[in-house]
Amino acid sequence: MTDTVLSTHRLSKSYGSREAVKGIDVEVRRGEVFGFLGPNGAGKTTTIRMALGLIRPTGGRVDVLGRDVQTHGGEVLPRVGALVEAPALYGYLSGRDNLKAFASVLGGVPRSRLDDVMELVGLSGRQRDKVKAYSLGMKQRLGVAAALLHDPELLLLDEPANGLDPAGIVEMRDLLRELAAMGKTVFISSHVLAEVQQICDRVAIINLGELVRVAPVADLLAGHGEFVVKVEDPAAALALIQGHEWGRSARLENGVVVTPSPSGRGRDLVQFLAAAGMWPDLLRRRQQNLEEIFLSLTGNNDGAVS
Amino acid sequence: MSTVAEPSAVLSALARPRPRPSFAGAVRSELLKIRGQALTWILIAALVAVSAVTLGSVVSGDQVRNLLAHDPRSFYFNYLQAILTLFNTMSGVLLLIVSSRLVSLEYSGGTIRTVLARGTGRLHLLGAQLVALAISGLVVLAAFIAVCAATLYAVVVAWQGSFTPITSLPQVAWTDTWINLLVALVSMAVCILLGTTAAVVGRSVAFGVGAALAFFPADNFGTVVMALANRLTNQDVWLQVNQYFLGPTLNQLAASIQTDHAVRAAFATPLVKVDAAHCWIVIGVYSFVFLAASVVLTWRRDVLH
Repeated sequence: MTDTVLSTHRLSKSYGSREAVKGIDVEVRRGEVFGFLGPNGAGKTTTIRMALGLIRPTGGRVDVLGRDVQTHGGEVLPRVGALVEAPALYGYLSGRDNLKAFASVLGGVPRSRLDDVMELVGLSGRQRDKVKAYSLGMKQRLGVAAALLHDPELLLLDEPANGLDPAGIVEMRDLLRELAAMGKTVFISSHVLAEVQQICDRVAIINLGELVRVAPVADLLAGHGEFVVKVEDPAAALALIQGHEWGRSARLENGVVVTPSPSGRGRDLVQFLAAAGMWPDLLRRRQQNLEEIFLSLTGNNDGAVS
Repeated sequence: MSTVAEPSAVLSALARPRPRPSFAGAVRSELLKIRGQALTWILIAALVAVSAVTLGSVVSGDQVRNLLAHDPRSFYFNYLQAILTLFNTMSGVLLLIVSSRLVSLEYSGGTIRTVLARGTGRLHLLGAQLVALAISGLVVLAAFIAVCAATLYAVVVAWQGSFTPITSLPQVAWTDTWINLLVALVSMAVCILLGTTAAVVGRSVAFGVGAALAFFPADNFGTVVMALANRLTNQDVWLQVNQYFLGPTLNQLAASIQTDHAVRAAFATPLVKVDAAHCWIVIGVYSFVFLAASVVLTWRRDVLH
């Protein structure tokens, strides 16, 4: 059993002269919750569609559960649960009949499982209603139920929290954690960066079709190597720090100095300041949130993330 | 999600199957979608209502009663022709709409990506849709035959006291019955292929249904245009071209096979005399083109919906 459940190899897709995805290499390991982030038009959905065999790559390939999805889709995709963009459902059928329609395609799903997944996503009481009468949040939950029908090893979820109320988002997060705890791999694309930060083990950030960064969330949050320093005379400390090559990016934020360390370690920064007679009153590693990191990596300052 | 069940309890109850795409399952899924559309039932209700009115008018009146009494064979042939025209027209509209909607709704609703993302092949899905449509068409045909047979029996017994005038018809009457059944089957198959192709090409309900429904009126009307062009230009090329129109050729098929008695098609027929072989070739070529276009476009194009 391979430890890599999804991998892309120099994956590219062009529409005419426009390159939507440019040679992406991503590897998703078994059992992890992997976040896939990027602004609108970055190529996230195109990548997910190629992973599901919906569109053909112009170059490279996607391996799912160890097999090329273009040539072995019928073998591996039944072991994948997917929710691509908005939930696509048959509005003229009831929620239960939607699940029956999707279940029949692969066969072998007992009726009791339809009840189980309906109950799991909280739609038991509405399963006989036509889907066209469902709210967006209910459709989203039904989409997740459809993805879970065959107890997939890998879940590819594109914006699973779309349309859910705050309580629903929390429950969705709990569900995804539960799935991960059961050993399922979850590949999630979301614009709710706070959610991604809370549930993902690793994230990939893409921008303009190119992979910008792949890293564990913890490393990403701590990895900028900046420190927050409170000193008696912040302006003087800033001038001192900026006089050195390693301190060019130092700046003042709300009366405190935000700066790299000469070596990357906090104690060397303390020593440097102390040598100049500027003993810090407080020094801590700066924790950025994922949104700040995302914006700094993609240069997207309007917050439009998808 | 306030009524969500405890995830661990439910998820742990889920066994781990090894699912694989199932063609029979895909056909069942398509049949469920056909049954689930209110429009399907509205069209069937319309088929029943129009059939009842038409059959009522066909078997009522003294003229028809006299024909049955004096020439049961002509009565039977007229009845056959009437119900074949009725069935081809009504089932044609029904199948064109249902087939184009079944396929195009997958694209316009985006459900195609949900189905294909489960590992179902594109051609596997197309094949399942065609089989489900064929099954639906056969069910409608069987029901229609049952209703027409029951109506015929009731009318003949009511007017003649027994069904003997029909059962004693010569063998040719039964041969023509099978020919009519064959023509009905061919007409249904062509309508399913045409509706499917229109939906695959347009990938939208509006285009799929619109193009499918416009095709036969267009080439029936085209026959009038060709006749007019022939008169205006005195060129036979218009007549030659017209013999390759699908609708008129389908209308002519029954008459070209039944040579024992004169059959007049209800709608446009080719402007030049064509034989059965010509009709089969034209219908076969159109069917092949529809099927090939559906297969190639389904197979080659990305699913961006």
